Amino acid sequence: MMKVLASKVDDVAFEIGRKYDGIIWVLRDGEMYLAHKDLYFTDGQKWYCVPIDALESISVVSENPLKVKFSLPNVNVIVTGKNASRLLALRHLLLPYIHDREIREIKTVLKLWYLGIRSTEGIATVLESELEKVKAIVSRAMGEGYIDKNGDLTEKGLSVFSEEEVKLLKEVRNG
Amino acid sequence: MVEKEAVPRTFGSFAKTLAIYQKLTKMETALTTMIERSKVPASETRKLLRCTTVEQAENVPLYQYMRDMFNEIGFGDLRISSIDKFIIRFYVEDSPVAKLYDIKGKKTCYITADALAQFFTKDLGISSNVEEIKCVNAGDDFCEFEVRMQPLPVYQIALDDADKSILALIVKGKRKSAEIADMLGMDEVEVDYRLNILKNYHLIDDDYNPTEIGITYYQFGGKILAEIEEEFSPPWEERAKITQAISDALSFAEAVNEALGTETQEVLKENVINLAEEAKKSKSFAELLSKYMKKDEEGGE
Repeated sequence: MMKVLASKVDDVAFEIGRKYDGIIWVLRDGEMYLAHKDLYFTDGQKWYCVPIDALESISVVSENPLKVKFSLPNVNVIVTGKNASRLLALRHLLLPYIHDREIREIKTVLKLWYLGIRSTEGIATVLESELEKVKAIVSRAMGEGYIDKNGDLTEKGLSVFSEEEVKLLKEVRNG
Repeated sequence: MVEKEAVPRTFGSFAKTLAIYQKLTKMETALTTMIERSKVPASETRKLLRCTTVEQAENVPLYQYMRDMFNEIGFGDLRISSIDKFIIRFYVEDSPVAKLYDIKGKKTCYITADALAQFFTKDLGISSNVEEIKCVNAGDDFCEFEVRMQPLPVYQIALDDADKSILALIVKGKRKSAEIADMLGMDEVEVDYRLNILKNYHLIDDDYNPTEIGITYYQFGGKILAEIEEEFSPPWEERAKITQAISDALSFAEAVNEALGTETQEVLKENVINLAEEAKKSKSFAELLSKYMKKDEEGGE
C-alpha cells in the first residue's frame, strides 16, 4: 500500500463544489494537510486529495473570516481556517507553482499553433480540452505578445521552447 | 536561443518545503500585526503622493517607516525605483523572500506584493493592485514591484482644501497666481507650488486653464470625495512599540510553528479521492457527485 507523509496545516472547514454554478458537493469540518505533491482534506472519515500540479488558481474570496479558494478544473475547494496566517502562507508557498501550470498550458497551445493548428476548436479537440479554456489561453498568448497580430509566434513565443524543441517542431512542421 | 532552465513541477524535499512554509507563516503573522497598527493619516500619505522624484519620496517619513517595518518582518530593504501619480515602483535587492524558493525562470515573491497591496489599501486607504514585475528567480538583477493605485482615492488624498480652493478659483476664471494668492490670503510662492500639483494631476493645463478632469473634479469630485479627514498620530510615533509587537508576533509564530511539521499523518493513497482525476474522468460533475453519493450509500453512511 502506498503511503504519503502529510503535515497538518490547520483545522479547517472545507467545501468542495462544482465550479460553474457553485453547487456544493461536500461541506465538512475537518483538517487540512500539506504533502510533497498534494493537499489533503479530511473530515476524519474520507480523504480528499488536491494535486498541487492540477491547481489552476488560489484566491482569497473573503477576508473576514478568511476564505481561500483552491481551483481545479471543474472543481473548487473553499477553505476557512482557524489560523489565517497559515492559509495565506500556504497560498504564497504554492502560487509560484501555479503560474508554472499557466506557462505550461500556453506552451502546449503554442506548439500546436506553431505546427499550423490555429483554430481554437481544432486545438480544443486535439487537447481534449474545453473550448472556452483554449480561447482564454490563445487570447492571453496574443495579449502577452507570444503571438503577433499576423498570427505568427513572436520571439517571446519561440523563447518558451528549448533549441531542441524548436528543431523538432520545425522537422514536424516541414514534414 | 537561450536554453531555458527546467522549472520544477513540484517542490524540492518535503522537509525544505515545510521549512519555507514555516518562514512564510511567521512573515504572515508579523505582517498582520504590522498592518493592524500602521494606519497612516491622510496628511502624511499626501506628502508621499505629492512627490515627483525618488529622492523626495525616500525622504518622506511614511516611506522611511514602511522601509523599516518591511525590513523588520523579513521582506528585505525596500527602495523606491520610480514614482508617478498613480504608480509607485519599489525594488528589493538581495531579497530574502526570493531566496526562500528553489525555483529558476519565474517570479516568486507573491508575499511581498501582497504585503505592499495590504499596506496601501488598508493603512493608506488607497485601493491598489500590486504585481511583481522583476524577480531574481526569473533571471532579473533584483525584485521589483509595481503598485498601481486607484485614481479616485489618490485624488481624494493628494489634494487638500487649499488645492481645492485654488482649483475652484481657476474654474471661475482666475489665472494669475498673485490674484489667487491675494484672494486666499496665501503666499504667492505657495500658490505656485500648489498650481504645479494641480498640473501634475492634470487638473489644469500648462496655461492654467482647467482641464476636463479639473472641471469634473470641481463639479462632482468635491461632493463625491468630501470626507472629513481623520486626524491621528502617524504610526512612526509609536515605532518602538510596533517593532516590539512585530518581534513578539515573529516569536509567537515561531513557537506555534514548531507544531507544524510535527503533526503528521500517513495517508493511504488507496483511500483518497483524487478530485482532479475524478473530475477529469467524469464527463460532468453531476456524474461525479452521484458516483460518490452512491458510494456513500453503499458504505451505509
